[in-house]
Amino acid sequence: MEECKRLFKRDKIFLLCLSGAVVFILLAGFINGWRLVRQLLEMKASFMEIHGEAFVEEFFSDDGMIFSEILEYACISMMKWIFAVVLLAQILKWGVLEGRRGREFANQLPLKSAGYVTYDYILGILFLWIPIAVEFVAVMLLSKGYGLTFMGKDVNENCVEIIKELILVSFLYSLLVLSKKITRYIPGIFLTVPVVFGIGVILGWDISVFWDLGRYSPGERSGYLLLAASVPVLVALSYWCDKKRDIAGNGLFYFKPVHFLMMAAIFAELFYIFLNSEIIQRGMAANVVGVLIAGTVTAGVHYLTWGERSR
Amino acid sequence: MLKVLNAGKDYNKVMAVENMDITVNRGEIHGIIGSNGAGKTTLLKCLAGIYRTDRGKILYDDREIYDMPEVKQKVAYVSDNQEFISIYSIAGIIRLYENFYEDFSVIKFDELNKKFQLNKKKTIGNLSKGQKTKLAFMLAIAQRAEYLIMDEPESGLDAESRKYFKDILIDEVEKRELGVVISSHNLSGIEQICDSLTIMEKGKMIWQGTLDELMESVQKWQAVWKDGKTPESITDPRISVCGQIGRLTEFYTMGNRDENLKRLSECGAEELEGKQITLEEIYCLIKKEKTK
Repeated sequence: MEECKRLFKRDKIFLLCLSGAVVFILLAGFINGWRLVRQLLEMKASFMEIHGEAFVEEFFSDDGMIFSEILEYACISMMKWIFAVVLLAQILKWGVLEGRRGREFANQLPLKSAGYVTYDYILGILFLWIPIAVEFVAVMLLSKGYGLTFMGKDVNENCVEIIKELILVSFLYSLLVLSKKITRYIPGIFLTVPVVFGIGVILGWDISVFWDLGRYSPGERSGYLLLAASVPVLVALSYWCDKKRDIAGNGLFYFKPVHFLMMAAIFAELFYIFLNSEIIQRGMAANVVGVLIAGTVTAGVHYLTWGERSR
Repeated sequence: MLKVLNAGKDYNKVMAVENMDITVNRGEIHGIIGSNGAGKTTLLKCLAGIYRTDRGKILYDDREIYDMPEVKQKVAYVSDNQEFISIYSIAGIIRLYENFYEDFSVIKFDELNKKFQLNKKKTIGNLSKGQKTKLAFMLAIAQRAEYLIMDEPESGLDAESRKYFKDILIDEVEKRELGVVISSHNLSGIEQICDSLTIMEKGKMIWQGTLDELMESVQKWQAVWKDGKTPESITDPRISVCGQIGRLTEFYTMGNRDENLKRLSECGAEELEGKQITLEEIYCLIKKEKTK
């Protein structure tokens, strides 16, 4: 009993420390952001007095933009720190506190140890890193003035758009896998995989947002940031949720209608991407090909998520 | 059939299990006994597919178990230290097992729980050692596996629960032809349920066979030695003196009973009488003999 009490106490201390660290990061981020905004606004006011309005307008954004840009910077910076803390805490908990016994319990279960890791990372590579790499090359070529065309259309522009959508799909997929991992597997052991995967998504998203910062209006940027911000929020939520035995034992994604709703969303998303792509000529053939591609990918995602129940 | 073929396992280049060969059929209970650190738990973890063997093979119906989910479905494991996830309730861990094991039966679990009386709403962290052992045993039986590997399954159990445990196990072996490998320091318990045995010492097998063979291989006697012989004067390596009560000397002999009887009479043993011997005594004698 003493051992059990100790474990319980340890879990509570662990969660308390983690909560404290997250609150500290959020506070520090906002305070730092606010200080930067104030400094810039003060600097702008002093320049206004010395050099006049025309000079200031040339070198400074308007007040709203300053606030929005610094907030963006602070949010992304905070997200990364929170991610790092959660990941480190998880690894610490997994490796040091749970140690050998946790891994032995996992090995006892009928799972193929290499299977889920390989599938996750292959999917991670296919859905995330390859699109990011292609996007990187496409945007770089475009910025250097090397516009590629295919059947009279600008490939680079379309690539960027398609890849943005693919990243959205990978984002959906990562959420799905993340939720499933938490509901399917044991808390504290397998969570590391989706956390790493989630970090990949957010980093990829950050890269794409920062790379194209100048190409989007503040409104669009906010939209992307909102999506990007939702990843760590969901990861963090899932992390807290895995402490709740009810969710860990019987989660949302065991519920068939929800799973198929997610699959339908992924299918629709892919089909939409395909139809909106101007790389190919539209028409009946394109629709059929679009349905086939979207269907194949959705079936693959379905197999890897729902199908893994039997692995 | 479970076959362990020349299996070996090292920890940091230190040999933990070496040259292990065991065969266990469905419907058979095989006991593994040995002193602390003999390598029993390591061997059982290899049998459960938790550890990969460094040498040799572990085959269930000719298929290796390590990293093979289909084979693991057929094998249930009761660890000596039931470290389940402390935040789960019993109902939660049942759901977890239900999701992992195709043949897991909640009905069977509930049926067993009528005897063991665990509150399904309780969290695992709040269970005592004995209650955790009961839970692990019930989960393993409800898994409806073909083979059951158990490491010290009776530790922490009260007398009544030990009886239930034995009854349930024998019932499962008879009705479902469950193949069981069990390690325990409770040798009287092992003696009651096992068909065959392996004795391990320092990672190696020092004796193996059926329980009957083992019980027949060592005899315990009581006799009076004539011609002024004392227990100290008995230098025959096949005779091991264990005690002296007045004129009576108690001693063990190893090998064929009839031959030993004849030899003892020739040596001057009088009022010779065979005595009941326990597995514990045989184990100690074999261990002493093999580690000389």
